[in-house]
Order: sequence, then C-alpha cells, then structure tokens
Amino acid sequence: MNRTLLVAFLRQRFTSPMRVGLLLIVTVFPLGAAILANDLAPLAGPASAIALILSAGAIGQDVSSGTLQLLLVRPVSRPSVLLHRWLASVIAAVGITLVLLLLATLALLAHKTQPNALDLVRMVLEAACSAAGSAAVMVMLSTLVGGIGDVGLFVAAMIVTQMFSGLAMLEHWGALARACNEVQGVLSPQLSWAWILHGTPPSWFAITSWASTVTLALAVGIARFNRRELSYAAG
Amino acid sequence: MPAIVVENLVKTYARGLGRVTALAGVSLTFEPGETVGIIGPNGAGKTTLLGCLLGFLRPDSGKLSIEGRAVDDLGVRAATGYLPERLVLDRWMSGIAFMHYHHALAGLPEATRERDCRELLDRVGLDREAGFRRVGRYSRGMLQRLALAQALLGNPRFLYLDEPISGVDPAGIVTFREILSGLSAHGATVIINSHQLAEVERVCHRVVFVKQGKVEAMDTTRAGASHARVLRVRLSTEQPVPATDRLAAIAADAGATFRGWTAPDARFAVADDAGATRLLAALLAAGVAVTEASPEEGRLERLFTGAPAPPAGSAA
Repeated sequence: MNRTLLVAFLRQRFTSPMRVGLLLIVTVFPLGAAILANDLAPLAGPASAIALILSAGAIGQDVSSGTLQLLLVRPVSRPSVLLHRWLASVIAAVGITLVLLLLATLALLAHKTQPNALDLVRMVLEAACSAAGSAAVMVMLSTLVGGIGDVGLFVAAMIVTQMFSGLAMLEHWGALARACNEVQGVLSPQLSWAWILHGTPPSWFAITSWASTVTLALAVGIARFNRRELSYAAG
Repeated sequence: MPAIVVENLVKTYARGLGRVTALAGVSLTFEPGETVGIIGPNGAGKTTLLGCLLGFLRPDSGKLSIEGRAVDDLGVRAATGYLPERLVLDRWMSGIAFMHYHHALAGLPEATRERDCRELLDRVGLDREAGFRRVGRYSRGMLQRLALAQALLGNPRFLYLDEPISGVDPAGIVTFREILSGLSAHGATVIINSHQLAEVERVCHRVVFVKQGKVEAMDTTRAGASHARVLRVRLSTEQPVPATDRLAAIAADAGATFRGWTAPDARFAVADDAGATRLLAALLAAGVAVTEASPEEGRLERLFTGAPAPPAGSAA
C-alpha cells in the first residue's frame, strides 16, 4: 500500500472548504438527530454520503486541473492511483462514521441507554460496505468526465431512476420497477448485516451482488482511466 | 545505443467529425548525455511528441522505446523528470511538502528526504522561507523553480522540460544553464520544448525543428558542434576596410575560414574558443580595426522562418 498516495489524497480533500462544509452538513444533523432521539438509527446513512463527497472528482478533477500529469510521471501506475483514491475515501468515511457512532454512544450512555453491541457492529459493517460501494461508483464516474462532472452524472442517474420508478408504480409495470431497483442498487451498492443480530445465515446472493457491483465499478474505472489521454493538446 | 527511440510516430486527434494529424510519422533518436531542443510554431506537434514520450498520449501507430522499454514502464518513470508548461501544481501544499510528496512518489529513500529536498530547493534558488510558503502563493517564477526542483528529484536520466525558462528572471536562467550543464555531464538525456530560440541554441547540443507534425530539419547548435561556430567581427568604418582576399588570408593564417562580408561585419568560421582568440589576435596584429566580435546569432530563427543563411562570400 502506498501511504503517500492515501495521505496526499485525503489532505487534498480536507483542505477544500466546500467539501468540509458538505461533510459537516451530512454528519452534524444525523448526529444531532441520534442524540435527540436517543437512538443510533439516524447514523445509518452518513457513511455513503461521506464517501460520495470525498470521492467526487477523484480522478476527473485532477485530470482537468493538470496535476495528475506530474503524479503519473512518477513510478505509480494508473490503477494504483485509482484504487488508492477509492480506498482513502472508504477509510475516511468509515473513520468519520466511527467517530459519529462513538459520540452518539457516549450521549446514549449519558442518558442511561445501553446500545446493543451487536447492533453497533452491524452499523459499522454496513457503513463500511455502503462507503466502499458509493466510493467505487463515484470513482468510476469520475474517470468518465472532467472536473466534478461525476456528481452531475450521479445525480442525473438518480433522478431519472426515481422518475421511472414513480412511473412504474403508477402504471403497475413490474419489470420497470424491478429494473429501477437494480439500477439504484448499482448506483448505491449496500449490504445488510442484520443477519448477525438474528443469528441467521448470511445471504450469499446479497454478498455476491454487492461485491460484484463494487468490483465491476472499479474495473470499469481502471479500464477507462488506463485509456484516458492526459495532455491538454488532446482537448 | 540511443537512450530514446521514436520510429514513425503518428498521432491524430478527433476534431468534430474528422481527425486532425498532430504527428505525421516522426522518427528521432536521442543519445545519453544529449540535450535536444524541440522547436516549431504553435500547433506543430511539439507538446504531442512530449505527451507521447511521457505516456500521457497513446500514439495511433509507430514505436517508442526508452532504453528498450515501454514509455510507461515503471522503471523508466523512476528515472524520469518532467517540468510541465502549465504549472498547475498542488496549490494546497507548501513548497517543501510538495517536494517531500514527489520524493516519496519517486520511491526515493525516506532517510535522505529532507536533505535532498532542501538541497534541490537551494539549487534552484528557493530559500527556506519560500519552502514553507503555500504553493498557491508562489509567483510564476517561483513556480517554475519549484517545478524544476521536483523534476530534478532522484537525478533523472530522462528529463523533459516544457518551456523551462518561461517567467524566470535572469538569475534563474543562469541557474538553469548550470543545472543543465551538470545533467548533461552525468549522462542524462534532456529534451527541451521551447520557443526561446536563443536559449535553446545556447544550452542544446542539437535542435529538432517540427512543423505540421513532421521533423522539418535537425541541426547541431553552437553548444553541440564547435566546428560550426561562426564569429561575426565588426570592423571600424572610420578606417579603410581590408579587401576580402586580405581578410581571407589573415583568417587562413590563424586557422579560421573567411565566410563573407556584409558591411560592417565580417564572418569567420572558427574551430573553438581558442580559434576565435587566435583569429582576433591575427586581425589586430594585421592592423584591422576591430570594434566588436560576437558569436553569430539567429541560426535557429532562420531555421524557424525558413530564411536562407547569409551568403558564404561577397564583395568587400
């Protein structure tokens, strides 16, 4: 593992005021809700949003600015750069989620509420999986367009999927509703770990689906990044 | 064995419905220890050639190899330095942090990181205070120096410099010349893409003139071929100027060759600096009123504009 690539990417992300502002928005409100409700449930969502914010423009932004050229003259491969940026986003998203869960747990304990240890483990694992999935999709999208155009692609895909999903519900088109569900699953891959609470066997289908989506997103991202031309003369 | 081989390189870009040819079958070799200038008008294909050599662009056809390996071989990259024309550096880092970052990326030993980076910053003329300043607050000249310092990390064997002295003050240009001279002596192959023709002529051994995606001409510069030096000697017009036969005879006695006369300048081909000194001593000893002598400038400008060379001889 190349620690330099991980640290440099995270430092770049956390020195962006806009990104830090967005991170505050997606973390402070769920934390406040969890404390007020005396329940950890509101903290189930932020990991995916944190990963999206951190990984947005992971490749495209540096391609557009030109800073990636100097990096790629060094003895680091393009797949390595992409995978380290994905990994850095996941590590940071999980780290921030852990801090949120810790703060919320302390608040619950102060209110004499004992959180379920297994439920905490489940939340951490689900946060890690959703962060890994969202970051993989966003990194893949960032190899397709310059700047933070990946955010636009992601939002547009979500809106279109939601519209078709609504249409499918109104018209009772089962096939379209199923297709929309699948697309949403690809755009925001998640994996439930609730089985550890119930003592039931894990769903290997769900695990395989999540893992294949993440792998596919990263593979497409690597293939696209490898073919991407970097000189400004390329237009 | 050449350090870098370019064979029949073709590169086109998609533009609208068609394609534009940037490189139309370029073939070149670059030797170890050679400093080569690539010159040509805007849009000639210079940056595209550099992009292909650095692995940023994929050629349509042709062959590129560096010490027999592919351009994107990680071993080649470990021995490569690059100074881009567009100085888009990581603005959020300090100068020294930027150097540390590239030192680590280059896979150089951590134990020597601080020392190596400080030495290089000193070498390009950036002091300690500048090292702690954020890159976003650097002037154009400071950015150029910092980019040069990072390009020199690890003593690269292949150095690509895109407009290296753009925005640099005279002191920086002198530093740049000294650094290039040292690199060449250590066997590094340096490729310079520049519009600063006088500087290219001064520091390069060879120059490649690219036009419309093709190598139009290759020429040895003053620095690369001592035998091709031409000395322009200005004679006083207040005294009678010797006949051209007389000037030719004095030059021949001093081991030089008389190349022509265009009032008030006489042109002589000399072997080297010592030859120039002998010629000037002979002219003065013969009573010729010399007011000024300088190496001939403008050979590259003529190459660039396609203007003919000055006549080899003419009447006095």
